[in-house]
Amino acid sequence: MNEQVAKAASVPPAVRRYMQELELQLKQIPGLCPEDALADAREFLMGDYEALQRSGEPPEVDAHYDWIVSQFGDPSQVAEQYSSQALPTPNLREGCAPGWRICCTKCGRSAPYASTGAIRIGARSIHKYVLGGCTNCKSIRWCRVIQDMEKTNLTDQMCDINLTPEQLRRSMHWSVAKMIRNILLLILGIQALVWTLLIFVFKVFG
Amino acid sequence: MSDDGLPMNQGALYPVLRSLERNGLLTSEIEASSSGPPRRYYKPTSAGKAVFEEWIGIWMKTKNWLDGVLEQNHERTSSKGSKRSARGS
Repeated sequence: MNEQVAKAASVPPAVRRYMQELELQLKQIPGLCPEDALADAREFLMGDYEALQRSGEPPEVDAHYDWIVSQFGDPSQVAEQYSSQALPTPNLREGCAPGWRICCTKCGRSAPYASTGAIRIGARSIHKYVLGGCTNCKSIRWCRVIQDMEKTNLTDQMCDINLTPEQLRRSMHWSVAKMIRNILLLILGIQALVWTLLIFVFKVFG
Repeated sequence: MSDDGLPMNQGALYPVLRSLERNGLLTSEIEASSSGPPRRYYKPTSAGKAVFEEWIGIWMKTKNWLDGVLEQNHERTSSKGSKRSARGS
């Protein structure tokens, strides 16, 4: 795979709007990877927009949006079509975690956090990591619990830079090696700062 | 129906491709594009090609059977029509 990350061509507002609506629908379906579905939509919609541009004057935003819906399908219907791919999530009991979603850091498979039986109310953090079993990876993975069920953060990231879903996932999470390296760098930085201060103090007062 | 004759929305194709890939009938690779987002290209695997041949066989059988049924129906309606016109004259 070519790792080249090119800066995105300007994404038309109608495409962005469509992807945002699709993202909100996809996040509601347990067992899906929203990034994959959004990448599919982005690929088709940008190709379609290029064809529209070549054929003549690009349409107005609302007309373009209607054209997209007629060609690619209503966002809710498209999300529903992807739901046939959704893998089951272990549902032990009914949870309550409004706005929270859990996703595997490796494969990106996600689910509303409440659908896994979790309870998370009034938490102030933006995200946290938990260990959990991923049905797709068939392994214990670090899973990210993130408060973005009502946000369109994935679309914004995918529209701003031409990342593949895998690159997007890698950019969102730190690997263990990267975490250790950053901790070591932080310790070294603090030590360097302390030594610099000590030398400065000895030179001035010593 | 879209302009190119596909009897469904384009959005329905992508989940099917993903599903075929998950079942080992297709492989895919992503290639960067200079003009837009990276594009995913699908290729059939050897198992995919075998299943494709099998599906073509099944489809042709179904098509031939349907053609036969429709032809019989057409013959019946046309013979009824000719009898009626004969009675009318």
